[in-house]
Amino acid sequence: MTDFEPSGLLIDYFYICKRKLYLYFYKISFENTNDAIQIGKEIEESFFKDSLKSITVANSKIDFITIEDKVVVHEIKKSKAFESAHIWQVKYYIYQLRQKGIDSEYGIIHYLLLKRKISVNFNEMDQARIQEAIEKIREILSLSQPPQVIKKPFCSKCAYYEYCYI
Amino acid sequence: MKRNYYIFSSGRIKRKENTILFENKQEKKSIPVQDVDSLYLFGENDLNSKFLDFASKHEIKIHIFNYYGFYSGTYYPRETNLSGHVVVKQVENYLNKEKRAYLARKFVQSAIHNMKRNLQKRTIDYDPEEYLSELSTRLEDKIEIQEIMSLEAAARKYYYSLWENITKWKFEKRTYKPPENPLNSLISFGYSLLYTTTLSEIYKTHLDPKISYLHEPFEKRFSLSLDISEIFKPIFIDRIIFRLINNKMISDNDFQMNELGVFLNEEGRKKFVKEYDTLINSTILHRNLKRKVRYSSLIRLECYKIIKRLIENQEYKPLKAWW
Repeated sequence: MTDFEPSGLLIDYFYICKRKLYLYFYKISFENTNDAIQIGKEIEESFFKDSLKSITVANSKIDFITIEDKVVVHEIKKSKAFESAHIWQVKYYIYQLRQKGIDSEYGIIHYLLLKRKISVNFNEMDQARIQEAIEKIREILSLSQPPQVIKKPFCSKCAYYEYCYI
Repeated sequence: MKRNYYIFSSGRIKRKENTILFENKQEKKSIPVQDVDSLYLFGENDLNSKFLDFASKHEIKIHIFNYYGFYSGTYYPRETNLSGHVVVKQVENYLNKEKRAYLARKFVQSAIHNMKRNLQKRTIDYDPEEYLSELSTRLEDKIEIQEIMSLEAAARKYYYSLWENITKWKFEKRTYKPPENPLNSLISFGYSLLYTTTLSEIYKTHLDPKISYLHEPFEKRFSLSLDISEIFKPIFIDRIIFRLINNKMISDNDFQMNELGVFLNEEGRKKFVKEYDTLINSTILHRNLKRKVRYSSLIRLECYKIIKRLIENQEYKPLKAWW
């Protein structure tokens, strides 16, 4: 686990729920019975149709990029419920690109249903915080058991709700 | 919400563009593919590999029954919920004698509780509490699967001995190869329906249906499905049987008899399946989840509890009917 590099989604989950991060990593996912996930996928596809070309950097799948004077990372989301986690996910993509020597310092999150965009900047402070997060993710994934249930109001909408609360 | 489709007629089932088409000389019917959880085939049906491929893509399980209504097998599509982690833990819990016995005991204790619940709900001149509770207590320290199995058999034997009293139908004893009287054939048919539903629900989780605890994994069936079915037999199938009989919904005319034994005929099977389908699709307010769940989902939730036991080493509290 020491040189394991998380995917962008794991970063997102790290900021939402450590237990979800763990379960998802070990392929214990209950999402295929959840209609919300299907809806999300359909929306993503129908909004961007042909222009949607995801690219893969390290083990992350970036929804799409555009090139201005630097590379701009784009991430598509349905709702703003976990905005700060989304921001860190985009920052992490930028971090990964920069590790590969690709010049990038900002990204855009598209909130499709809200018809809103927010931009995400990346600075040197973020670099350190991301490295810290990666370290913590490695620690969590090395645990022999998943972290405890967090009991948040948003749990009831999670695909893991039934598993966690049964 | 996906549901089960039961096909009693004989004919051809095929993929027609993006739907399922059933046809024979008399009729043509299409079934929307996204709507199907499992298909139950009771008639003689032709299907081809193109159709099976289509079924796999949509994760449709196909359960096949023979002419006598005996379960013959399941077309179990390629697994999509794979977690090496869960399978490793599932095997670990099988290989460790104490861990295996723990799960086996829990299945039986839950089954006994649910049998007791059925007896309590019916006014018969027995005090079922005493003997069944005693068996349940005697299970506590058992490590040998053989002993657990025989306590389960004792509980079931006692429980069945009260059935003539409940149904006023002849029972004598449980016979299943072949069922020797109508009551036994109802039980056999019902339990095989439950086995298939359990298998379909296990499919939706990460559990490997071949690795079991109470039953031996080298039995010819998906033995975890047998394990989990034990919990649900009394509250799903037995209750349907009592209802069918006591409400006079089923009679001698619904059975056929031949040298192989006593079986439900097509009419009888239709009646049973109708009750069964209504039951598994009805909902109940779940005490922990505080939301309504379908009866069939109770089985999936039971699988979740087992997964939790396996990967988090938590206490496993099997379903104990409260209604």
